[in-house]
Amino acid sequence: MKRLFELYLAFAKVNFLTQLEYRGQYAIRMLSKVIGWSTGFISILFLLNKFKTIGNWTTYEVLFLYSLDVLSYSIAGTFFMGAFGKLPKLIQQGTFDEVLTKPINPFLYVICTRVSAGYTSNYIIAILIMALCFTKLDLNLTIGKFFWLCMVIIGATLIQSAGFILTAVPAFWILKSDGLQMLFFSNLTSFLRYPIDIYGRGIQILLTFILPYAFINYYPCQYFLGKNEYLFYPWFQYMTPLVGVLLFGIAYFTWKKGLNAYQSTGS
Amino acid sequence: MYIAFILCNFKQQFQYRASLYMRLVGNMIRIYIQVCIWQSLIQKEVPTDQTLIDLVSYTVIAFLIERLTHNETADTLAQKVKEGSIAIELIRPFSLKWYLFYQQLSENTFSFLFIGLPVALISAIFWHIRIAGVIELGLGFLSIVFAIFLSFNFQYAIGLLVFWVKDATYTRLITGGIVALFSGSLIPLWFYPETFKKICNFLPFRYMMFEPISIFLGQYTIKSCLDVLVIQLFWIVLLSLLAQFIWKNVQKSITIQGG
Repeated sequence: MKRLFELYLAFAKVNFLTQLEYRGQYAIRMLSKVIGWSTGFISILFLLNKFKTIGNWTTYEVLFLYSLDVLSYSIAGTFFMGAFGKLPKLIQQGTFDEVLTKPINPFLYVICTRVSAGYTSNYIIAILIMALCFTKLDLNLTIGKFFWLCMVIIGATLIQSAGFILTAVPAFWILKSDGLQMLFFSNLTSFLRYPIDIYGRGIQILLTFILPYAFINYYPCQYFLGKNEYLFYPWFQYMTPLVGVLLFGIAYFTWKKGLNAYQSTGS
Repeated sequence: MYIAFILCNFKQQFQYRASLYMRLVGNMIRIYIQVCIWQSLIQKEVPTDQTLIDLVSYTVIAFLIERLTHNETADTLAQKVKEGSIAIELIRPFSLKWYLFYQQLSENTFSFLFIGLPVALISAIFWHIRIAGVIELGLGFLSIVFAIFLSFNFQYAIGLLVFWVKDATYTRLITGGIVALFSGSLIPLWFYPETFKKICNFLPFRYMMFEPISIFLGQYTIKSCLDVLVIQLFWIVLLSLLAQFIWKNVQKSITIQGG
């Protein structure tokens, strides 16, 4: 375990350093990410500036909701985007074979070698917005609550990571799964930008029981914002960490299955 | 040229039928989310000049225009720069700009016909959609054609920056962000704060999305429609000059990687 950690650090350091080497490029990347990601926040601000509330949620409540999504997505992205975003391509081209020849768990290997430094700006935006929401909404952040917030972020990150893994793994069988990834990341996650009580019952069930994405932000936010309109059960608001661990477990299991089924395309 | 591209592209796309279905489902979801948002907002006591029908129609037309103005020029260029195959493109007896344009257009035609139209039809079944009249329809189409050229010139000008930045992800994020914010593709400009609306007046982006849609929805008199078309033309000329200027500089400073 210790050796693994050292290995991870070594890879991460090399990665961060290479990405930081091109300083001008890095600055442009940060700038572009800030512009790209703030449009989501700005559009929420504009809409709610005009309409005041959406489904009983006020501006800063919605922003808090969204910031939790962006933050957990970015943390998950740091570790899993590089590894699993390109997995279908690696498998298609046959370069995945190389991974299997390394004397280390392939799962850890693909993650360690592809850590990204590109999400720093997202953390900053998301955390700033979150802090802003806490002050604007007069939410008292006690030590207990802070601890719980950290747990929720970890849980939400695990759910997002499981999403990255589960959408990439089918590539082991069908070789091409980028359509699935698109569907997940540019379409299904956009449900999370607004409170899910504005959608139909079918979508609420989908996002709670089938793809439990609502646990990333909607349910935990109910706790922090003191909302008492519960969609299903009140105790759902405490379930994020557990759902995260479970889902990640399932994702890892599927990855194992996929790995066993892997047949090189040769190259 | 265009026909050849189209045929080639259609063949390619049909190879990945599963991927096509996913995109259909994904885009249907996007429209559904947007409609839910409008439904939830419009019932509120805040008065608006627009009805839910207007907003749903806006969303669907915006989606169709997005199919047509979608642009991956920067990615194509970046790929070619990285591989060094840009050298071949430069000696082709055909301007790079128009080569990219037709390639993009053929892709967009596909996505318009096989994703845009089906999604629009399904939406029309589920929700009420309304378009003003025959004249507006004609002017609207013309305006969309202009919007395609306008948007392409802008994307191409920015896309040329990959000769320096080398990676299209970032130019895409920047253009995506700016266009989403100023063109009204996410939220109609009606709902923007006043100061921001004023800024949009001086930028070309609203003419890529908001204005053509407004024409379709019958928000303008015939005269203002014609004004829109003229301003669109003005921006097309201006942006193509800008692209030309950047292109000149690219040619001076270009470095070709590998051979």
